[in-house]
Amino acid sequence: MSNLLFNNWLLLGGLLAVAIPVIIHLLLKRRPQRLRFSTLRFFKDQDESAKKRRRLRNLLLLSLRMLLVALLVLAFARPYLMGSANASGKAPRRYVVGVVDRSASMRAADHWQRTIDFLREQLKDLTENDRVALVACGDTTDVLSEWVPPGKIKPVLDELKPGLGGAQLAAGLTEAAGLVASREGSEPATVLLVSDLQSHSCGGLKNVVFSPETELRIEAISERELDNVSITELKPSGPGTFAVGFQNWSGKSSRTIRFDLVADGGKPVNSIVLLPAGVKTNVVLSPGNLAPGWHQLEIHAQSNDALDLDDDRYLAVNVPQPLVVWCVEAGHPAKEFEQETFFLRSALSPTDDQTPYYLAETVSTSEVFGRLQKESPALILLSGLHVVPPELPAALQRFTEQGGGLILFVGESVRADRYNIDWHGLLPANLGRVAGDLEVPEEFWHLSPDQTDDRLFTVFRGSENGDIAQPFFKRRFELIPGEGANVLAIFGDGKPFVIAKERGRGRVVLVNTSADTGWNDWPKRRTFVPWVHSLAGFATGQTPWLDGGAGRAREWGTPLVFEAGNSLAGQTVTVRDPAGEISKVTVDNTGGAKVSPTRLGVYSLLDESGKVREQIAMNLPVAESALDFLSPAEIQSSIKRVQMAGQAGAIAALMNVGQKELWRIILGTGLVLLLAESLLANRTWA
Amino acid sequence: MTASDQLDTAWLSSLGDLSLVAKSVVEGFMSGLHRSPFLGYSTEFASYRQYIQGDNLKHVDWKVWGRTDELYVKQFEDDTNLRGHIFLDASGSMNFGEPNKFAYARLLAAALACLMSRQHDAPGLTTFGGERVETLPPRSHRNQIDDLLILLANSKADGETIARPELLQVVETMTRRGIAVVISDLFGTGDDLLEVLRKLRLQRQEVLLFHIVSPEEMDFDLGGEFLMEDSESGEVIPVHAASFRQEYLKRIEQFCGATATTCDKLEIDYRRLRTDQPLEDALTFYFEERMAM
Repeated sequence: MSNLLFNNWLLLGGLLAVAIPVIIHLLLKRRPQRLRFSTLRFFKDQDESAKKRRRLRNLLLLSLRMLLVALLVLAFARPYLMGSANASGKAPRRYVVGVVDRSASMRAADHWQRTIDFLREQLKDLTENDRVALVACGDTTDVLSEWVPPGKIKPVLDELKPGLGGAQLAAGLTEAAGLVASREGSEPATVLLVSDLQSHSCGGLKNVVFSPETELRIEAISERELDNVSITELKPSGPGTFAVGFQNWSGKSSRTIRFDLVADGGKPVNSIVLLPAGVKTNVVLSPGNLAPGWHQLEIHAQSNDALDLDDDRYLAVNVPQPLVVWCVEAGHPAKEFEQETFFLRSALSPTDDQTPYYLAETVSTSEVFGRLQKESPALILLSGLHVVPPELPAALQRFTEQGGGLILFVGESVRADRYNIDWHGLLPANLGRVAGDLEVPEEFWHLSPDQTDDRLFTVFRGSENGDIAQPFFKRRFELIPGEGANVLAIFGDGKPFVIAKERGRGRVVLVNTSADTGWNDWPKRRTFVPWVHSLAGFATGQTPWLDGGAGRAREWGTPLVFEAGNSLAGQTVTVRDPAGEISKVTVDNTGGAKVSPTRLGVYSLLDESGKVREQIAMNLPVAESALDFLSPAEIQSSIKRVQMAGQAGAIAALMNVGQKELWRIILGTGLVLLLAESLLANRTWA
Repeated sequence: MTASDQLDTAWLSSLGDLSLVAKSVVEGFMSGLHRSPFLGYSTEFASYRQYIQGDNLKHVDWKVWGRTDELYVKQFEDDTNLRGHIFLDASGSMNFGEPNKFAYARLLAAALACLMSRQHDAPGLTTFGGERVETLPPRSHRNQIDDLLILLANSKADGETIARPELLQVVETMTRRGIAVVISDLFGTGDDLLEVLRKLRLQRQEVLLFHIVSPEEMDFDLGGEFLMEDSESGEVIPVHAASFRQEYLKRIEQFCGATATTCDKLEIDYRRLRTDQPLEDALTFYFEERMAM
């Protein structure tokens, strides 16, 4: 295939000069001279066909002259044919670089089959004299073949398969530009991009630079928007629960999707979600009680859409051992619900059938000191104590310095002066007077909805996650934060609600309200449980539902590295892939064991006994589900055209190969036409 | 004197010139007197013939009667017994060409008249063109040639070539045998002129037809596109001369050929004269024809 190009495009404006013969004709057109003659008897019945021939001749002459001018202008514009025969008459070698998008989205519908078919068709048009190179754009950009005859590309195409990651077409085109620059010949090259032109694959195209002579042909495989629903997310949403994200990428049709959540290959939890066009939503599910340890979760949706791969998503979850929490009470009421820490304990273990991230128990003030000598809980909650055992502050101070978390509540039984003395050095703030009257129902405070430090309120982000300004507080101490203490939460009037202080490796947190409903009504609110979990997480520095229990998942294209540990550096570890295939991986100096994934699913690092030490799930990149695409024209316009250094010689060579031939041919044709014009103009026809 | 000298139109524009030139042409042409081919009753004896009733007894040779007892009549050479009537086409088509056809024809008519007069023939002249028919009947009067030359000098070429009744009337009055010289380009409408020629033949006239043509008409050496205007009717026709030339030459040759054929059938002596041709050719032709009579 050849394209007519010009070295001097601007000179084509000279084509306006074709009007010159017409203008001259009009200017010089004269009225016939009147001539008196003896008789007209011989002029009658003139042959009409002669007149027509004469008119035809005049038209031919005019056309010839216009054509002559046009040819002259064209010759000056230096036309040449890309891919035309060269001076020797031998067909010039064609250079074609195929840039194939093998991102996961190319698996949608019949895209991949069409891609391969198209490339095979293109190869048929080439001869063995031509040279072809092939670049594949996946999560990595690979030059599959440098310049070879077309016949050698066919086996490569047979082996080529779409990947599971995304693609950066810019990287592929840059590779192609490099290949073009490295070709042996000086003939023009063609870069053939075959892709679904997914929008997110087209980033960075403005950085791609082609020489003006390089032709970029784009074969858009996706010519219309396809219906697609995908699972975009699978993550823990709270203790024992998981959020599944769905998105309907279609802007036209609504879909009802059935899906299953499967934990460890067990019994699936079924559900249905309705997805209007273009909507993204989350569904929270619980797979049941998961014992501490690694678990693999899978979501399978039945979408029956263009892309099947994004109907599954995987998550590896490590359910940690529960954190031990002591709820310290001054006494032991007969009824459990009468204990001040009842609500706190209940909040830390909300239901029996869910994974217990905390193991809370009630401990009396008299037992704490003794048990601390032998045990080491993760967190101690102190309700408002009227009397503080003398040995307790020192014991708790050591406890926090060793990394324990301590949360102190106040209440009606707390006397500020005693507290300030008894807990001196441990309290993050000095207690002032008590404000508020329990008997006056109109007087109360709310928490500020605009907390400046949201470490305790992360879970309340978003309007649907509860309003922390709803609970009311009828009494509170006036607090004076101590040195090194941080106000973590404030009331609506700006007074401190929570003050914390680092002590050693642990934290002490003072909450300016009672642990029970004596001074507030928060335990009756649905925000209470997440609030207590946040508070406990901050105090202990451990958030089991966000850390170990957050699960581990990667999207294809990101490194899959197990944390085998420095002690295993240089040794091989055993990895099991989602299909159950075992492989050995060498641990690097940093203790990481990098795995090359081959399929989507959960990969497991096994210990010597074959038990799972660590799991990581590998998922399809969410972006691959978005099947919207750019037009070839948008791609073309993004590519920069810059004359490459060192290409001037190549262009000069091009001129010598075939481009000059065109203007010579045009001038030759012009001369022939000039001769014909002369003959025609001087011939007299009857 | 050359033909070109003779045909200078400026020179011919005056009466005196016409007379002078015509006479000069004739003088130059004639090397001496010729004898009349017609036998009459003149002074020079020619032969005898038997008397027939009606012959003038004055011409009976009585000496022969005395010797042979038979009546013979003397015959003498007659040098003034021919009427020569010149018909000059003075239509608009004659006023064309370089040299001008009418000037050429007028000089030819004058020369022929002089020649006739010199031979003691009785020259006459009729000019016709458009509405005009002017005639001077043939006479042997000594002032005849002057009258004829005046008529010629005053004649103009315009109007259509039409055989008007007056012209036909002139022809019909030509009862005596004689010679009719028709000078024309024959470019008339229809066959009017042919009819005149036919009638002349019917009137027992020996007819000489001088077909006057100009070099422009015969060669048609023109280029470009023209609006051709008919010199007689004023009609206009667009003509691309260069492209039509071959066809034109073909047509005019056909016309001349057809005219010659018609003349041949009517026993008319046809002579085509280009105006760039010396007048001597015409006079020679006339003289030969005259001698043959």
